Amino acid sequence: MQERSADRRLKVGSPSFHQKNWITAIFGQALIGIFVVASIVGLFGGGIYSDVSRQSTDATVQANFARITRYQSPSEIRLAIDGDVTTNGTAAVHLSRSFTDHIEISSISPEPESVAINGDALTYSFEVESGQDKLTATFYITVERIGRISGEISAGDGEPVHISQFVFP
Amino acid sequence: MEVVLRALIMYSFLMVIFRIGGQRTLAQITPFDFVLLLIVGEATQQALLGEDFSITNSLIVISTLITIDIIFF
Repeated sequence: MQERSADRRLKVGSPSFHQKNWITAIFGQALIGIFVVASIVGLFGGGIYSDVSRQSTDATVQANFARITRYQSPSEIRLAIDGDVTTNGTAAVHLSRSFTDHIEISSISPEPESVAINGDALTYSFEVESGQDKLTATFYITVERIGRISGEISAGDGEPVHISQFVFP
Repeated sequence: MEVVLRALIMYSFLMVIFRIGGQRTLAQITPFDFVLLLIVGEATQQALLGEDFSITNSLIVISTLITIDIIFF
């Protein structure tokens, strides 16, 4: 037993062990550095790469959101809505349940007049003053599911814009 | 990017502030110093993580701190 320990100590102190240890340390440090650089760029959320803008085919709604985010991390979806979708001083924004079922909406700016369940979507109605060309609304959310979530957002009777997020744990 | 910047700023500030505060050997730490270290740790945690308590965020913070330590010290 003591001889086996002595042999192990000799191997641990050998030049080849130190060399392997040094190479492993350099490799590990390089990996950590790459990980940090990737984080800065936004490959794990919160950077230039993660932010994206999508527009519906008929340009009635444009969504700015983070395509990469982290579990229960605060995020936001900024919508720019064409003023032509307004009906009787109200703009209706539809969010598909396939998306809203996996998020928690902390707040909405401005506050909607009402929220209604509309088939497989939630409809948020915003009061709009007449003559506005562009409306903006921001949904402050936290994602409650790891992995990929996706859904559609539309305004009025316009075409939807597809949004998709990948959520890291 | 914000996460990396938070870690960088907090690490740099703490290094400077503790240098200014004076060096003491571990044996000379008083109970007041110990309590201060605990409180600083609590305050730092909130600044580093913000409202994001995901595993990925923690990994980014830790990796950034280790990287700073490797590069500068």
